Amino acid sequence: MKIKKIAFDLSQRWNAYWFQSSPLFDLAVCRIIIIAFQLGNLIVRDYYGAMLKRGEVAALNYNPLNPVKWLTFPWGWEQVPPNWYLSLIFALSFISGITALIGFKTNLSLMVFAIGSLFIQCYIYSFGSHHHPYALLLITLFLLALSPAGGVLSLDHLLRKLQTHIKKQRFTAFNLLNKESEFARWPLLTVQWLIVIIYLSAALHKLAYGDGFLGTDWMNGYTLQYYLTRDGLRWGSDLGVWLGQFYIVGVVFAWIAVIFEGTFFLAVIFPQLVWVYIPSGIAFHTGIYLAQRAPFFGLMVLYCVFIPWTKLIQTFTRRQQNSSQFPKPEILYDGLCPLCIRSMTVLCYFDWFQRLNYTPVEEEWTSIQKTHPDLSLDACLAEMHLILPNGSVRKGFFAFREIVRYLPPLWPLLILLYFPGASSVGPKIYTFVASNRKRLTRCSFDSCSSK
Amino acid sequence: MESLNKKTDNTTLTKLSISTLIVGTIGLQFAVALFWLCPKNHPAFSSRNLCPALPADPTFFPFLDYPMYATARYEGVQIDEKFLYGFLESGTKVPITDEELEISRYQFLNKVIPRVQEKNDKAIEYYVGIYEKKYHKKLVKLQVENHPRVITRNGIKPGEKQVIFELSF
Repeated sequence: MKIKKIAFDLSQRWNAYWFQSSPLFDLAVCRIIIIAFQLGNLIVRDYYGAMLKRGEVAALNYNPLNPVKWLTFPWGWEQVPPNWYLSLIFALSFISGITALIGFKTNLSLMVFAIGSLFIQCYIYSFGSHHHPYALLLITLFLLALSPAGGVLSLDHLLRKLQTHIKKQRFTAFNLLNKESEFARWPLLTVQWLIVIIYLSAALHKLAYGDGFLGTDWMNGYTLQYYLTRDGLRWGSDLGVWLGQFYIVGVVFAWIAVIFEGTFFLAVIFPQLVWVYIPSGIAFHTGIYLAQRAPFFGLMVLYCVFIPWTKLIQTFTRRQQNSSQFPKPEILYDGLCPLCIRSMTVLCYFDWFQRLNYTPVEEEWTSIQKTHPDLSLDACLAEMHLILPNGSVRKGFFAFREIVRYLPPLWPLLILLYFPGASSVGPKIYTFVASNRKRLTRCSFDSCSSK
Repeated sequence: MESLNKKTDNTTLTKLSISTLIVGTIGLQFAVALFWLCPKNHPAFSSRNLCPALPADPTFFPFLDYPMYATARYEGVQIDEKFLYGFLESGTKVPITDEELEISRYQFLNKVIPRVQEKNDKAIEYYVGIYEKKYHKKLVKLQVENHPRVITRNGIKPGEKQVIFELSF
C-alpha cells in the first residue's frame, strides 16, 4: 500500500514536471529558430558540395557511422553510396526542412529533416574524425519531430483556424500565445537537461586531469595558454595568439570556463538564473570562436529552449498597453465575407502583441456610427477601414499597409508595400480583389443587413 | 463518457511513451558522457555491473562524450609551428605560404605540409606547380622547418628552430 502511494506520488511529480500545461508558442518559436539555423547551416557550409567531394576524393578512408550504414544498406556497408542517392537525400532534407519551418505537415516534415540532417552530418564524418558542435542539434530535431512543435505558428494550424472560422461563418479574435498543451514542455526540458549533461561532461573531464579525482591542473594557466596559442596559429586567429601570451588570462579564463560548465545545471533548477547563464554562455562561446575558431553556434542556438518567449511577449504587451493612453487601432471589416474572415484570421494570427481590435461592421454598426458619424456602411463594406488611435481613417490598400506596420512578424512585407509604385498599383489590386469577393447569403448575426 | 475515458487512456499512453523517450534520451547521453566517471577498476568499489563498458565514440552519434581540450598542459610545453620553404635554382631560399598557394591556413598546415613530409609525389607536383606558375621560377628543393614556441609564465618564448624535412628534385 505504502509502495503504491510512493509510486503514485512520484508519478504525480513526474507529470507535474514534464507534462505541465505550457504555451505551444515557446515550442514553436524554438522549432523555427532551430530549423532556420540548420537550413542556413546546410547552405552556408555547403554540405551538398562537401558530400559529393568526399565520395570522390577519399573513398579509401570511408568508415561509415551507424546512421549512414542503416540508410545505405542496399549498397553494402563498406560501399560509398552513389551521387544520385546523396543528391536525393540532400534534396529531400532541404525540402522537408522548408516545410517543417513553415509548419506544413510539421511532424512528418521534421522527422524527414531530422533523419536527413543526421545522415548528411554522419556521412561527412564517415571520411575522417567526428566533431561535437552539431550533435545536440541533431538530437533536438528528433525530439521536436515527436512533439507538438507545429501546434501554433504553422501552416497546419493556420489552415485549421481558417477552416474553423469559415465553417462558423464568423471570425473571432484569438491569441496564439494562450494556446497550451501538456506536451509542449517536455521537449524543451529534455534539451535543457542534455545541455546540462554535456557541460558537466566537459567540466568533469577537465577536473579529472591531474592529481586526485577533482584536480586543478587544467586551471594552471599554461593549459589555456597552450590551447589559445595552438588554435590561434592553426586557424589563423590573431586574438588567440595574442591572449596566449598572458599567463593570468590562462588562469582566469580556465576557472571561468570550468565554473560556467560545472554549474550550468543551476539554470535549469532555478529558471531565473537563465538571464545570467544564457548571456554568459553566448559570451563564452563567442569568445571561444573568436580566439580559437571552435564553432559552437549550434549550441548557442539551442539556448532558445531556455527563453520563456510567451512570457516575454506577454510582459512586453502588458507594459505597452499600460503605458499607452490611446485606444488600439481598430479594423472595420465585412463580417459576412469569407475573404474578409480569412484575412482577419491571418492578420490576427500574426498579432502576437495584441495591438489591433477587430470589429465586424454590420454587427457593430450602431456603435461605430456614434463614434465615427462620417463613415458610411456601404463604404465600410466595400473596403476594409482602419481607425487609427488619433481618429484618422485609412481605407483599402492603405489600411492594409498601416495594419502591417502594427504586426512585427509581417514587417518583411513592408518592403513590397512601400516599393516605388506600390501606392498606385496596390489600391488597384485591392479594389479588383474586393469587388470580386463573395458574400455569405446566410445571415449569422441578428443585426445583419440584407446585402 | 466512453469517449472521455478513451481520451484519458490515450493521453496516459502518450505520456508513458514520451516518458520512456525522455528517460532513454537523457539516460543515453548521461551514459555516453559520464559513465567514464565510474570507478570500474577501483578495488574499493563493486559497481562494475552498474557501469558497463560502452563502445567508444562515435558509436552512438549524435550522443557523444565531451572531453575536448581536457588535457592539462604544464610550463615548458612546446607548440610546433611548421614552415615550408623552397629553394630556387640560384640557391635562394623562399617561403611558400598558404597565401602563395591560395588555400586556407588550416588546409596548408593540415594537408599541404603533411603531404610534403609524406613525400606524396602527386601533391608535391601539384603545389610546386602552383608556385612555379605564379612566380615563373623553378624550385629545386623543398624544406620543412619547425619553429616551436614554448609556453612559460612570462609569455610565449621561441624554441630552437629545426629543419625536419628536406626533398631535392
